[in-house]
Amino acid sequence: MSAPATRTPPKPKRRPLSPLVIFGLVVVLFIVLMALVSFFWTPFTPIYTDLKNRSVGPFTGGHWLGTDRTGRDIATRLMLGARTTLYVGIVAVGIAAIIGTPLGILAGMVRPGASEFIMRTNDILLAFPALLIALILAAKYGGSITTAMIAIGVASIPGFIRVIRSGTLQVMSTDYVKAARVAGRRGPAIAVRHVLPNVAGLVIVQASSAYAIAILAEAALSFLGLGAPPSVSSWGRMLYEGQSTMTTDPLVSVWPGVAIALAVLGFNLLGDGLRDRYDPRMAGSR
Amino acid sequence: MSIEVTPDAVLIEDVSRQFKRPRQSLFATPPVVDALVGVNIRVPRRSRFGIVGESGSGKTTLVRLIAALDRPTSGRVVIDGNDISTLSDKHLRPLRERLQLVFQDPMGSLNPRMRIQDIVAEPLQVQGATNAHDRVVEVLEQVGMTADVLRRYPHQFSGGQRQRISIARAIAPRPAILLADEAVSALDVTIRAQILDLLDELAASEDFTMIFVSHDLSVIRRVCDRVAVLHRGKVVEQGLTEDIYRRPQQQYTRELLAAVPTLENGLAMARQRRSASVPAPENE
Amino acid sequence: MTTSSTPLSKADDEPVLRVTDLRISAVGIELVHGVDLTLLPGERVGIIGASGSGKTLTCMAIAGLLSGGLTASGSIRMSRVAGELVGARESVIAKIRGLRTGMVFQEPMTALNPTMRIGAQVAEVMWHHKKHRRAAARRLAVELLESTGLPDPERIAKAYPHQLSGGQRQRVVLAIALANRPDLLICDEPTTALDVTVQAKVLALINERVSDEGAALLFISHDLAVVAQVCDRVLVMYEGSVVESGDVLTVLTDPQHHHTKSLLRDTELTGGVGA
Repeated sequence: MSAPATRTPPKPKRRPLSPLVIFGLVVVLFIVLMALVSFFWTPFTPIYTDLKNRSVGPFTGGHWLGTDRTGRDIATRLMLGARTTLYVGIVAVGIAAIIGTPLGILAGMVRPGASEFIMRTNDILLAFPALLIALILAAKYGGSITTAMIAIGVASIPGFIRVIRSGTLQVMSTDYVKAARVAGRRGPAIAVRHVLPNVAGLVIVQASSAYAIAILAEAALSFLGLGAPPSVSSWGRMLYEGQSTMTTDPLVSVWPGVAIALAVLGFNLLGDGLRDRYDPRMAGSR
Repeated sequence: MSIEVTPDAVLIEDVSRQFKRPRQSLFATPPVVDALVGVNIRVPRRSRFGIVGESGSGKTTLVRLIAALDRPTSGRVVIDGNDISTLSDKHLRPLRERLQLVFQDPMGSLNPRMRIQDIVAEPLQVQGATNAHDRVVEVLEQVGMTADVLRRYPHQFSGGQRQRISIARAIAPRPAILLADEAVSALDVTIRAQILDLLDELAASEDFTMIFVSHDLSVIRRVCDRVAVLHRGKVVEQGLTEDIYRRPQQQYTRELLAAVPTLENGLAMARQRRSASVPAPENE
Repeated sequence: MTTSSTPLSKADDEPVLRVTDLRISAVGIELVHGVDLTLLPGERVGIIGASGSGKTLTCMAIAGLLSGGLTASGSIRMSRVAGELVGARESVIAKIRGLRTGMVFQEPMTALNPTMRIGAQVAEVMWHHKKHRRAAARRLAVELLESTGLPDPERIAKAYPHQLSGGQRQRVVLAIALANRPDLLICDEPTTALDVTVQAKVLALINERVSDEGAALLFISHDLAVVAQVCDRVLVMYEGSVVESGDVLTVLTDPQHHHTKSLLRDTELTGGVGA
């Protein structure tokens, strides 16, 4: 008489995305769209300098957002800057995720002593901000987008290791991992089959938060002249260049500032939304 | 490695396990915790052996030792004639194939990202089985599930169904020993009865030794012929289940028996309450 | 345990809780099909049923805790509360919750805030409803913890939830539920997660405290033997409907519905299928 209970529990009902997360998603998609469009079309050619309309406000001489001191179109430069921002972010976060995720899983699976060693080393790395790493790299190899990306990427690794390790510890304590161990599965197989799929959500969450930080870091490095060279448009570089006309023409600095703030906000909101959805520790709570 | 030599499926000889812990509780701050102290248990082959104990009794530690997920501080754990307390991980593998686990929590024991067919096939794959699929279908049928569940994920099943899948995974590699750790404690009475029946049938048809760990003596009594009572890391009493159920020798066993909620004593309490609050019949 | 104190202390004629034709549905599918339930002051009623029978949904609706996506219709009324509780605003329900009703959940770990000291959590419910000043509430919290039989209540009050055992946590949850001397205590599988000996102690405590406070009790469980220990009247739920109800002695000794009979059979493990 072993007929199984045939009814499945009345679950799972997905909660709709909150308006804030949708806002974040829209902002992020808009930036991506701007960056993509800039490959084919920009309001003006990137190198065009409108000598008749220098330092003009919005909607003057066909310039939507005005021009800077040398007559370059701000809207055009913002679109090109979006490209730099996304590119630096992707590579930096990519470096951090590709190195940090396996290390985090490793730290969560090895003996407590070894794990402790990894985590303390991680703490030491955590003490080096992206800026310091960039300065060191720039001193050796000269400031460039590449050094900025590597610096930001390396500085983001500890965050990944921490988050992924705690996720791994949680997965390792589950009965299904115990079952796999009793069945004779070895560490690497458990890592790939059981741990990785279950911490994948955390990787995405951490990546979106790290992305927001990477955007800020890129802007800061470019502002200091350690990132994008003058030939490349970057929001941080625009801020830096707007600095000299801050009192006479503040709008030149305001636009990239707004762009950076929006991008950071967008990625953070998106990250929070993803966290609510994927982070097992948040599941079920409201 | 030749097995099948000793009459005992599991032999636990004078096993102690200590843990070094930085203070974990407000009230107990000893640096060393004795989880098990001088435990002796003999589980005859093909018997159904119950281990009863409450949280803190050391039963979780004992389960981990038998499953070779942990090693004793002192003493011997002998499975099928092999002393696993000294074997290296590599040499444990052939033994691992002979012992499988069923867990308490039907939600946590199945990887949520894996399909049922992969979950049940996992212990077979580890052993390098070539035709896992047929065996998977076969064991799923044995636990009362049909082949259409193969491609589904754990969250699509109820607690009782998941526990069946968990049992299917455990019996798939034809283990010599099935270790059920509180396997029905998270289930409703109805489902609990079904799962116990299932384990009962399987133990008979599949011919394995079953070790059933629970805090509930009435559950153990339902499926086990022998039982060991574990209290504060020590075996306080062991023997035939009926004997212990009817004539408990130790104070702790008596307390444990008295605590099991039965309809009988529940109804007795209801009657007692009734007679205490005298003029009740007006309501209703 | 004292059962002598007659539970007829406050407003004895008016029911504490009156539920009529309660229906609960999720996205168009009705899960609970019209539950009627009346609780007199001091009365102890159990709801039994397997998982998926709708017993927990019913209890959540009464506590005003239905999660998003679930809608209730019908009527839930409490004594001394003007108006309908089905569909009432959160602010109205929040006032009743904790003050007029107390709740004990299955999982004592998640029912407590892991970052707050026990004493503060007990005190919070008291000053939250402005019954006491903070300092007085703290002092009362310790007394309350003591009344639930916790050893060294002073020390427990300073501890965090993870430092207590499951049984101790459930005692704390009960202390919180009873902090404002509610008219109704709702227990949802309060002992399912506990060991048998701890379960026996917590049940005895619930029995004792409910008698002392003269509160009505609504007790949800799948375990008939447990329900029999604490309840006078019982409702059997099956697939969203009440299939049988009545005096606990009658229902459990002379069951009418086949589901009640099968529940009884499953509870008595020993009388079942033989090996």
